[in-house]
Amino acid sequence: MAEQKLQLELISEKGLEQCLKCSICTAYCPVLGVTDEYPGPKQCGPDGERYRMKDAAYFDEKALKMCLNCKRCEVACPHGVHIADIIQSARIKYTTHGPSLRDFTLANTDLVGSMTTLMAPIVNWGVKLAPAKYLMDAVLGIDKHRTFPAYASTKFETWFHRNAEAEQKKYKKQVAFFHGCYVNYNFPQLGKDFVTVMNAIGYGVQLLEKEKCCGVALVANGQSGQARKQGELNISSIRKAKQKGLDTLTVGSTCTLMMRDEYPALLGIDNADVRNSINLVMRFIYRLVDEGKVRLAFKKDFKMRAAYHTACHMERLGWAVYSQELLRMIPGMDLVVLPSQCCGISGTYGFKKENYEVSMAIGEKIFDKMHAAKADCITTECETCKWQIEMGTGLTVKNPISILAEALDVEETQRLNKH
Amino acid sequence: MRFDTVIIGGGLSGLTAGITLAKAGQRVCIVSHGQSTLHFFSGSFDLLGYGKDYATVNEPLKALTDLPACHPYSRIGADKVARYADEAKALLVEAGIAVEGDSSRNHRRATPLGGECPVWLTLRDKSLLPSTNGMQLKVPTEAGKAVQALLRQRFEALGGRFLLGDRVTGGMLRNGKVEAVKTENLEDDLLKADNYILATGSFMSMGLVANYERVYEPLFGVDVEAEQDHTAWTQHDAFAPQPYMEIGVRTDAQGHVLKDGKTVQNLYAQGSILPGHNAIHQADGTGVSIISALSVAHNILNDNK
Repeated sequence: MAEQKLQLELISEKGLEQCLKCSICTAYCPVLGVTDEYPGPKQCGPDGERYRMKDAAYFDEKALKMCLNCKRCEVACPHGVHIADIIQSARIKYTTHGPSLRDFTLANTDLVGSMTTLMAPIVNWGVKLAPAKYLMDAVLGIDKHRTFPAYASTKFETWFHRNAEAEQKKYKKQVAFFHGCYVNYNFPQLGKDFVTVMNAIGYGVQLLEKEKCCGVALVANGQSGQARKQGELNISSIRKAKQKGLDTLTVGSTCTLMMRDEYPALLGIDNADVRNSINLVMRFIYRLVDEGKVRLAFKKDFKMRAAYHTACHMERLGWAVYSQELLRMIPGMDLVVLPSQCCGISGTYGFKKENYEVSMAIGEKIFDKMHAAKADCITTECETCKWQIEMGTGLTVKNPISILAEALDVEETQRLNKH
Repeated sequence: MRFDTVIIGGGLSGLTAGITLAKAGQRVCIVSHGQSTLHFFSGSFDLLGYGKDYATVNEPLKALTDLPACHPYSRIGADKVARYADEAKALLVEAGIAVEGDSSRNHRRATPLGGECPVWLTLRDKSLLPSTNGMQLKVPTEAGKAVQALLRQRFEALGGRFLLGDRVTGGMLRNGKVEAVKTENLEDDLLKADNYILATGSFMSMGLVANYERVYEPLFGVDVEAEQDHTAWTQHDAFAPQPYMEIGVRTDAQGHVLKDGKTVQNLYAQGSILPGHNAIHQADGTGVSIISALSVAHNILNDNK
């Protein structure tokens, strides 16, 4: 026996071998909670993977497409199986056809965003009209109940270069900002709030040398090759920032998870040297305050009751605690934490005609709780949750960093951190 | 991040200690690597169903004195077990978990295969109880999901922080004390506390890990009570009491764990990771989880006075 070499630890890619078939993941899958048509994370993930390893004919594209990639199965798994990664990797590996026109349009946020920003008023008006909605529904398969988020007429990048860039150099400490497509094309105000807060605590903001959409929508819509190209470009820019001593901060949870964890897991992009320098702004600031390196001053008259919604990818990052703790530091803040569950939109998933009912059925389970919270606003780091919640409840949704920007006494904070 | 107590493991035992400490005013953080084995909960809590020679127990408190010295109840002490049993019932009720039953006398629950089992407390909400038709048994159980959710809600309402899906990757020990623990998600932001609790469960929850050579506790590498020879861990008859069920980490009288034979002053163990009993053949699994949690929580609170 002594010479015989035994394998003492379980080793397998994405934790496949660690699955002990306990089925706990199935209890927390939002899709399984509303439809019987989805076989569930255990069957599509580790169970199905064993079959697919034998024969690619076992790849059930229709079933695997129902996965939201919310990753709540991974959060629930007591054995660290990367269930959603297994499902998404199988989609990348075994899908043989290209994307439909609809999926191409939904996924290419930079291309569509750049074109529509130029014609924002017309596009925003046009996509709301009944004939356009009918056409999108019938021809493209984008559900007619959905309205595209409005496009801004001036991109965040343009605003930054014109109005903010010059004065950033006066700050001794600097960070890089990965703004993401939502900030750039749809909601530049969120980026402006970010700059306000960073400047208040004594940090200058720089844009990355080059930035593309993180690619999450490309992966979800069968265009992983393009996603990989964009990912390589982003990581190379983040690497250059790191070489200058800069952390790269984000405001959205999904881009963050994508660039830190899904780049290596799904796209084979090596980000090991820069992964830790990619950080959500709320976590970055909380830690500075916790370590006594930054002090915050708040407006005396600020009052708000906010309900925190834990976006799925925020749950997977495990960083909701940072946003919550930072919001609780605001004296006038009455923070309610909603039960952590999926809102059903999952990026472009909920926009598709075939997913609309599932998407809304998942959302309904949390909309009531949002109304019952009787809050001034819902707060979450996820942009697509914002669309779903605003559409499903009529309530206002704000990113935590925007609330911080509202609550901060900017001048006083700047004075406290000037050295 | 800094807390008074950091609990590793968010199942029945971890949450029981968390609620007790938070209610006493402590700032508590629970780190839970995924969801717990509470998801296989039958809907009934057991205290002690089978005693000496695995004979059926009707009055569990009276049967405590017959238990071997290595049983967690014997180590806690019969009088304290009786007191904690009452406290546990009150804790469940306060968390919104309505139960019937009493520690002075067991009642019976029907098992999915048509048998019956002596138990201590059963959920009042019968709609949550699993089917007694074995063919329709569904896991995870509704009872388990509900109890898990209600205990977590109670813990968070008392100000506790629950980090779900995060994994402690290791503990830093210096001079016989834990200084900090590191987690996968919080990375270089270490979790620091005055006291730490190992409520990581047994083999199924990976609180204990076995390979062909040894059984070990993966987070701190603390002392484990197990036979050296791995063939002694199992019995051939699958339905016989399995020796591996009684494997666990070594603790002192206050529940501190031992490492290399020495007490780790601020690290406690509770729940299924404790040795010296068989949760299936003695029907005492949930009882040991809850009672040992209350014992540790009160030891911590007394220390802090």
